[in-house]
Amino acid sequence: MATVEFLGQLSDICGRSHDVTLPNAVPDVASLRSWLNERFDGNPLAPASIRAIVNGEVAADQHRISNADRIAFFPPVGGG
Amino acid sequence: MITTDPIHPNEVMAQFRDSNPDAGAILSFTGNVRDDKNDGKTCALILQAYEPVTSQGIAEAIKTAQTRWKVTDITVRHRIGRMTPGETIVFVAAAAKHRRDAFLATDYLMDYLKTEAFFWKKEVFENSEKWIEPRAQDYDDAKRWDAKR
Repeated sequence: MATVEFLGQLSDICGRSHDVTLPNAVPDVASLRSWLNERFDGNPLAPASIRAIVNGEVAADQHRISNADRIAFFPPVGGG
Repeated sequence: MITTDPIHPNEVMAQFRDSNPDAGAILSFTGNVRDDKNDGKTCALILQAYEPVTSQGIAEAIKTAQTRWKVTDITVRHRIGRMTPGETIVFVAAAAKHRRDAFLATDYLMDYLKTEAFFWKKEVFENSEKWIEPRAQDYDDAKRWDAKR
């Protein structure tokens, strides 16, 4: 199973963390994004400002994913 | 580096000064929770991080600062979790032989923390709450360092 996490305002919309079994039709970040958008109201992962981290590294939409991965989606960052 | 416990700037600064007895210049920046928002009194600020990515990113930014300026030591403390007005969110200190390097390294690190560090920030008011993103001014401030890379 993959761990899919949501950060910032996405954590209020989608929940902080889910263990999910990725279907074969979800081989990369882009397809995971679409797959998750179908499961939450309002297409929360659609904006281009929402990026992904796969196993600790910021990953582009074409990045391949598997059921062993830790994947997080995040809106624009900023602390301080 | 990242803590859920309150940050006490004077104590951290005293430790930093003690560990840098030979520094000619020691500079620090402290960022606190404000309560002067237009849309209501801020009751709390909630900061979220994503470890270990957040700490790794800050460590890289510290390395970059050490490469770009002649600083002998840097410390960064950043609070996460729920905090109230007056409490410290962030503390950055730099030690150097001369003041300019300490000023620039601290300034650079604060711009990194405001616009690139993996934190997310929510303001909590009496009857509502709102996730906030960096201001245009924060991004403009951070761009100053790109031009000099």
